[in-house]
Amino acid sequence: MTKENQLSDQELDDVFAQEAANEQTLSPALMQRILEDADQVLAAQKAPEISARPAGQFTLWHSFISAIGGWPGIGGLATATVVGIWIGFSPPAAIDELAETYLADKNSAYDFGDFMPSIDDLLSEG
Amino acid sequence: MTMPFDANTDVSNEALLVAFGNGDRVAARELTMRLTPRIVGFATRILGDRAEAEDVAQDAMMRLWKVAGEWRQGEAKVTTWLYRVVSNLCTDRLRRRRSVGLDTISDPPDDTPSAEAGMVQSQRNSALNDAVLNLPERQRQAVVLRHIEDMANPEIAEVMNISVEAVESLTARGKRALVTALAGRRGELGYEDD
Repeated sequence: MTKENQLSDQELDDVFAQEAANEQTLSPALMQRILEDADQVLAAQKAPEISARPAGQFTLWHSFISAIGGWPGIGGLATATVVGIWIGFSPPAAIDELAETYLADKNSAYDFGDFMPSIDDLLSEG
Repeated sequence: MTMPFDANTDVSNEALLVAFGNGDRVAARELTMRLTPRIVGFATRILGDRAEAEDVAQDAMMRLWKVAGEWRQGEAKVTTWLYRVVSNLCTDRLRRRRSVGLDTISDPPDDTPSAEAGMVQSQRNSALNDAVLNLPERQRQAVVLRHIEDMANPEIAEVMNISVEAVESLTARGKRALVTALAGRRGELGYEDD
């Protein structure tokens, strides 16, 4: 092989140009496979959209529920609310007795002023 | 909503990809027809095997469909992104071939394209393709992208994830190797022997 047999730059460029001009074809089978993949991706994109919408609307509500410990927390909260309302409207006798024992009757109850510090207390020297 | 892409081939690849990301199946068809023949051709020249090149093209297009929904407009060219994926997939396959020792068997030149491909190669192009397939892998990619896919050096650098200087070096060395390899095949290339 001699150097004279080598292609010139122009000749090599011509060979490249011929190769580049060769039109590539797309086989129908490959086209079908690729479009089936595209359909599969589109179907996967649509599927979560349907289930995601209701979840999106209740995001705050779900955050609240999870913050108080899930549905058992909701049950506890409902029970406490009902019991609280019931005690408020119809207190058991035991609670009245307890209040009278420790806070005296309502005629001798403390007044707001009784809890205020007296100016004499503040001025007295110790 | 579907756009009449067949009537308007001026729609950019990027616009088609965004349309597909919004659920437009017609856009997928148009993108497939535009891009797949090019990447099959590129992968065939790198791998030397049309069937394997079609698998790579399908894999690359699947990846394109998957990123369509989050494609950021103006950030990258669709073709550059796709060629890069194909380039990486080809590299992976060549590496796998080496790891199973297939390199000990000489690479069969792709002179038997499938009938459905309708790609009848002339003797001239066979000589070139044989010589290209015998180049080292990185030189092969750079030469094919530069001289057959007609890509500019900065874009090749992006596809191959190397510097523009490295691209210039690879293509120059690749061309020199081709000139040497084809010296004895001037007749097949349609040139008179000196």
